Amino acid sequence: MENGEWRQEVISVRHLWAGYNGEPVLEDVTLSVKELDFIGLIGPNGGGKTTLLKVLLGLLPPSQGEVRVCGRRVEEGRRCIGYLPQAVEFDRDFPISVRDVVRMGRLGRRRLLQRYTAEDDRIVAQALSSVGMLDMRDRPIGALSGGQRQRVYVARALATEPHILLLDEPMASVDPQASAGIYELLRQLNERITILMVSHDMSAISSNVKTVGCLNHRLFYHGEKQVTPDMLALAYQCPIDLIAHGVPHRVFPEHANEEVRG
Amino acid sequence: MIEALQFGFMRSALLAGLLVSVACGIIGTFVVVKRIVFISGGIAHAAYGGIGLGYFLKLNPVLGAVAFSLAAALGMGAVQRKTRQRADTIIGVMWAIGMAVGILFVDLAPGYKADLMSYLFGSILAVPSSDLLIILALDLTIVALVVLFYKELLAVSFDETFAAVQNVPVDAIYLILMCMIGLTVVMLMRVVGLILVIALLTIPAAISSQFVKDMEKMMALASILGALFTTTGLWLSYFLNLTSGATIILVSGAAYLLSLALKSLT
Repeated sequence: MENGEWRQEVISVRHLWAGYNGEPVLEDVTLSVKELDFIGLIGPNGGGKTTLLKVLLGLLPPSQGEVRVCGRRVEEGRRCIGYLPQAVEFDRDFPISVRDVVRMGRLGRRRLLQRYTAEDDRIVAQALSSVGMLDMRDRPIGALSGGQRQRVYVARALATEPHILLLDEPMASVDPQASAGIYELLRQLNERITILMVSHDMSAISSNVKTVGCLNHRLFYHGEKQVTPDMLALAYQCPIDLIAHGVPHRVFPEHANEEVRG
Repeated sequence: MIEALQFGFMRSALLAGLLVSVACGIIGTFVVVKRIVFISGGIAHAAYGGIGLGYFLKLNPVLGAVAFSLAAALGMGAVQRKTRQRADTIIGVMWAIGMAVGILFVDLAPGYKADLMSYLFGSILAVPSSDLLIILALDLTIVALVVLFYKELLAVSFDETFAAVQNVPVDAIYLILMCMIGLTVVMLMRVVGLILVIALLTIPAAISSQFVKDMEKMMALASILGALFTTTGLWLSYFLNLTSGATIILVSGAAYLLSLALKSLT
């Protein structure tokens, strides 16, 4: 995926404004994701990372701007997205097996009143084996470790047969060893699937993705391959815990953002 | 024990208990895993408005309760979905208004309201066969809806956001679930009374969730437990001459405590 090679645009966001109760969280965000990109967006909590994913998934209507996914409106385009939600929403006691969780990835392909088919079962098994969790298929989801659970959710996203994976803080509840394994899995998947992931942990993201952007209400993304001095300067525009642990926090005035956008 | 069965009312009571256990196990499972016990309580109490209306209009109060509990289910469900703030307050208010409306309708209704208390505290021993038919019809409706929408109900219970992204009509499925809760509540009201409905709705499912980790098995076990509790409670109340609804609940409650103790030992 060298620069200059022509690749199809799979997500197109133009001058997007979005927020809650009239308060904008995303301000004039423009982003173009091309096929087989692996983009990591970092930013502080409250900087709009999850909001951006919600807009891309059609869960939050933009107040301004245009969003296209796979060349279509988000409500249709989201069919080509596999989504890995933030792990905090999980209820450990929920009585459901790994297989049944992954099978939810097939919901979008089946109508109301329609049963899952043998083809669904085949795709579910395939998704589970591609994340190395096929042996665990009958286990209750609550019995898994954080890393195993994230693999199951990746499998659920894969069961939708996506062109794009959207990952929201995929390593949040995962220990470092397991997260290395998941990054390796994502790298393999990226050979055929576009990946866009958001996280507040820059150190982890920057060494594992192809390009990095910084989102704090406004988006700073120039398709840089890694954290260059430029990028770092941009990252410093984002207040709080962007920079890896141990580096003192620096908070710049908000209005400095606008001068850097270009 | 068997000689009690020679009484028609005892056979009806047993049958009613077994029938409601099915709905109770299935819907109670959703209520427990989705943590919507409070809203279910609201629906149960608001249904009293329908009882009052039934008396006032001289209709079968159960039909009034069905109408009111469905309206309450839809109203409270919509509030839960659409209002981000203080949904529990609004639901609490609807809960109280429903009951108040019921009390006033009963005041206004002419004549002697003999079996009014039976709706508050249950009267499984006095279930007429017409109510048995209503219960059977509600049971069949609930089982049919759950079978038809099972994959959507499971997805909405487990992860609403993901279900929405998969283009599942999340709001509609949620309201269907609310309506099924409303119907179940009406049935349970006949057996244990609306004040104790929540206990019978949640206890079998709560016990069951401690021992099985699969939704369908949880429903099946909860239904079996519900049948066990209603039957045991019924026999006990018959032989000890106690209020049947309260006895059923105490049997369930004792079993729940026992299951907690058992679970902490293993």
